[in-house]
Amino acid sequence: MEFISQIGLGLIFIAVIVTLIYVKAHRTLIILLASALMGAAGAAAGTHYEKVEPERLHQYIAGFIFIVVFGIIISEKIHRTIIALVGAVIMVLVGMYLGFYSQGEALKAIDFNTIGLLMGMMIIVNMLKRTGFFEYLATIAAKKTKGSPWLLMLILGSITTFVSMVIDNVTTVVLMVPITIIVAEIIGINPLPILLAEALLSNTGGTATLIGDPPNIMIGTAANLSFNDFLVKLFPIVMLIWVSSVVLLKFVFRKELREKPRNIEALLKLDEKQALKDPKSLKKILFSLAIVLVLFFIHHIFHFQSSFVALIGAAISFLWVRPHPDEILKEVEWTVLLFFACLFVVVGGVEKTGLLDVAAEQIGHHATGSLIVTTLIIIWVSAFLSAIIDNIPFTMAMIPVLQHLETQGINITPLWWALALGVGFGGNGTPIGSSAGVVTMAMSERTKFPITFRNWFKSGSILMIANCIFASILVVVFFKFLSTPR
Amino acid sequence: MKIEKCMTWNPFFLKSGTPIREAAKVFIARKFGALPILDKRDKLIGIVTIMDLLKVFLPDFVPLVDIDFIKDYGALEIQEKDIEKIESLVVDDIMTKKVISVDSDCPLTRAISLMKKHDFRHLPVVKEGKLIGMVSSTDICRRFLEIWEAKNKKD
Repeated sequence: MEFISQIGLGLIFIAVIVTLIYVKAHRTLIILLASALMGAAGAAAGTHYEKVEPERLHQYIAGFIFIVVFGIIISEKIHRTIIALVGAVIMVLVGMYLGFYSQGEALKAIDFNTIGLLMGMMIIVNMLKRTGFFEYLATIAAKKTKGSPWLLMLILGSITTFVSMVIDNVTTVVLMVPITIIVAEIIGINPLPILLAEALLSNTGGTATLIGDPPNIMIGTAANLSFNDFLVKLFPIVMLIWVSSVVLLKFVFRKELREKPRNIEALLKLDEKQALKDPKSLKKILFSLAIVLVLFFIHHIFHFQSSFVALIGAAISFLWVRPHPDEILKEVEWTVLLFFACLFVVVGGVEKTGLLDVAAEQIGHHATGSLIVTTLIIIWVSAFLSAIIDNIPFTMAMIPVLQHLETQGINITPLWWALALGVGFGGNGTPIGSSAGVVTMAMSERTKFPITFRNWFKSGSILMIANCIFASILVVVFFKFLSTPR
Repeated sequence: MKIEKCMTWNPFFLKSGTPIREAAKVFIARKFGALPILDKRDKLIGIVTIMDLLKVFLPDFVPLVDIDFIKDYGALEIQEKDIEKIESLVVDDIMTKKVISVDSDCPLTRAISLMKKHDFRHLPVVKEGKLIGMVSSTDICRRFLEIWEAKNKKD
């Protein structure tokens, strides 16, 4: 009876929020009402039902807060960082009141390794992008293609992939897309296939390494997988899939890529050296980045955490180049970092109630049959869910579930790789599936051939399905290799 | 010193709905840098500068790129952006709608600081909602020059 009234209360609450969102009520009103309702629900539940199975009750309340936060993040009606912060505050408040979560535990739930790694890399990348290095690289590459649309797609797409393996995907496309558009306009070809290839391949590249994409960073920390583990296990698989992706993109855009470029002389006249704004600093930053990469290869020997490696790199380049820290730090995406921290607190609260154990038990019942089947299910479910929702909260919620599966004696090593592959490729499924896609689409609206949903479904969604099929085959073939821990 | 000392009284203006071709003619013939736009009730609703007009010929993606290092625009330069589409534009499409204007008793320093802050060179002067004048950075500069010269003569 209590559960039914709990669920009823939850449904009423969700209905109120959804109605408010759809009648476009003022955001502050929604947030205030949501907080008040959550607090009231918590208090009412705490006093009224405490005599009946308090643990169960805590699980329902924490799960409920989590679902509402998740729902509002998906609806995109309120900025995700704001709602994550509100959710974190409410989770801690309710948790303190009911006694399942404390401020100290909330602080411990934040994975500072993920946040430190992101911050360190953001600092290095912000210094690097001011030097004009990416424009330089793209211009040289574009000149080498002599204007052939297919070669442009292949070479600019490859650069995007490899750059995305080290720096984040959004920064990569923000730097690559403008130069791509201008090159395509100069030689009078349709930029659309190249832009789509860049957006899609940056997600593919990000999947390949520990530092390529936030979900991989989180998975690496949670599963204690090193940079080299990713390089040995995940990188070869992603590279094989990358080759198939390029072939598929060439086939999908075969008509557009047959276009004849005009004014190739104009392209060859581009002076890449003038794109370099600060060659002196560039050398220093590239050297620091090289140190970071070397340290990543050997970080497990020194027992360095990956965030520490990134922060070493940030410190070296700061000390060496010595820009004013304000200029670099204001471009660090603090909203993203705060979003991570808050989401960790929300998920941590759910975890403390033991709700995720229940979820893991449920999955565990089905997983006992065959580990291969579970692995494949994780690839496909993660891919489809990441195509619709933000892959960061999804990964964050999946990590504790997988960790609890381990306590039931299941070998979860292949599941980590499945999760990384699924959320990585899933982002390509829809234009809103990944931030790199959203940004590319927005920038393409300034050209004569904006990326439409139709273009995307024609290439991205097919690519996602093809990637997942190929990934499933590879995972099955190399299952033994992937299942060995380390 | 007040702005009314150096502004142009009863300035030239364009009516809302004027094709941009007409605006271009006015810019060329009268060597104006900016033109106020008035609606049917003579209310100031916008301002068009010669740069607003020239921007029409730029492709939308240009602001995305730092294009200092591109010397030859190739196909981009020779392609004719839809001439018909440009011809059908009226001043309302290209004007700055949030006009920053000043009163006739506005001090010169305030006018200068507004120009510097917003990177304008022209300010409409308004009295009770009606446009009564225009002042440009050149006008203000000329005023200062006059003051200096008057002072020199005295000495």
